[in-house]
Amino acid sequence: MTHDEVGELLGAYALEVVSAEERAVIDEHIKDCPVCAAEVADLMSVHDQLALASVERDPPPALRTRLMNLVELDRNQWLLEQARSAPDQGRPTSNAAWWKRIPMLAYGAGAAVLVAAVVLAVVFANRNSVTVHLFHGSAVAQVVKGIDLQGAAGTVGVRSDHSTDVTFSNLPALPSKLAYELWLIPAKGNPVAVGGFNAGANRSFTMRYNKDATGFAAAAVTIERAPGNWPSPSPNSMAIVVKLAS
Amino acid sequence: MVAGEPSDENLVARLRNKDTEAFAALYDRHSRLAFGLAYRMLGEPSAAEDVVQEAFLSLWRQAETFKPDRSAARTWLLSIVHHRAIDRLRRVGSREVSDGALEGMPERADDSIDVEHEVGVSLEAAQVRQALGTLPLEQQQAIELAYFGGFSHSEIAQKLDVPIGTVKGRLRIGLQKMRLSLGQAHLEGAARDA
Ligand SMILES: [Zn+2]
Repeated sequence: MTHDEVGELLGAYALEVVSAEERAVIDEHIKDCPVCAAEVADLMSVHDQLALASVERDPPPALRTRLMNLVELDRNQWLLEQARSAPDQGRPTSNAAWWKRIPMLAYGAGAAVLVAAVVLAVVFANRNSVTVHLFHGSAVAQVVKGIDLQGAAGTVGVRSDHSTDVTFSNLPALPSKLAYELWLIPAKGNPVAVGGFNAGANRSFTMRYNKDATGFAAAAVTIERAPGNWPSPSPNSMAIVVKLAS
Repeated sequence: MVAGEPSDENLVARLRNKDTEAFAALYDRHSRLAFGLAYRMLGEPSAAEDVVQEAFLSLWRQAETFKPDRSAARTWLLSIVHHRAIDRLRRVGSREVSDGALEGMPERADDSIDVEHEVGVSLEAAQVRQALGTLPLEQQQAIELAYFGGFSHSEIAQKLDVPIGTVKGRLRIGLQKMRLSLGQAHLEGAARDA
């Protein structure tokens, strides 16, 4: 194509309505032709502005809700990955105080069969108006009777339909006599047993709990004797805690 | 944009840390224009909704790749909407011209004008509408079929029953005129601001 033939196509090119062959030829030509390149830049800027010629219109409100749910869940997953790849945070220091206030430790101290692991790193996200309330915690654990919980982490997200998504990951496989148990811990009163589970081959556990966990102080996963009689009357170890309220 | 509110660029930067509040702010700021564009191109609310959802999700997922020096966040977002809508239109293959593609200069769809938002967008939008609306009708029509309808130059020639060279000429001259009048508006704006 000559310079003039290319020139005739530049409007169509800027509007992205030329054929693939034409586009390839023009792409090549403007590399060496500053005149055409300058016109392309000018016309492309008009192309970008054309979107503004349409009339603003309210999208359905459900779209916002759906998008916010999707990005909150995505953020949930991202936080888990961050927690997994985070360097060892060492022994708990300033964070040590809050979990002592969680009533379950009283059970842990009294009825402990297993040594409690240590809780660290609580990421607390307060959401006033959006639809998912997300809380996150991770255990930088020592050892529970030889079980290394290093890197285990969890998130709890309360959804707008008042169900609760719970995810724990990086859970080590347990010996056959032991199993994990999920708890919701109120600010006062006894922990509520949600259920027992085993970490699968991917070392993670995900469930949707059909109740709203708002109002509980924390969610926790402990290690219990299994199969035994579920639910356990009270938690016997503290493994991983996700703090739910400030 | 109201003074004191974070810029789009600032909000997009916060998406890299998966900041959902920044995402909500971007959505509240730009979803009406994004939906308006998708609706005009596709002429159907549920398809427009899908496209806008896809566009905002790719904004969320690809925020790291955004280069603020190359384009405004709004332009970037709208170009995602535009491309997704074009993909849909072209997937459908042989198709009629949607009402939206040729609706010309429509009035506002409703009376609920968001004043704060309007101040930021409307000046430039009004200039673009005027630049497009004052073109000779055949140039305006060719540009709208290309941009909002996603038709190729040969399809436009077929629809309008004119030679393809005529279509090429209308697209180019129309855009050049718009460029001139928008450049002029831009200069006037700069002079007024100075
Ligand atoms: Zn040239």
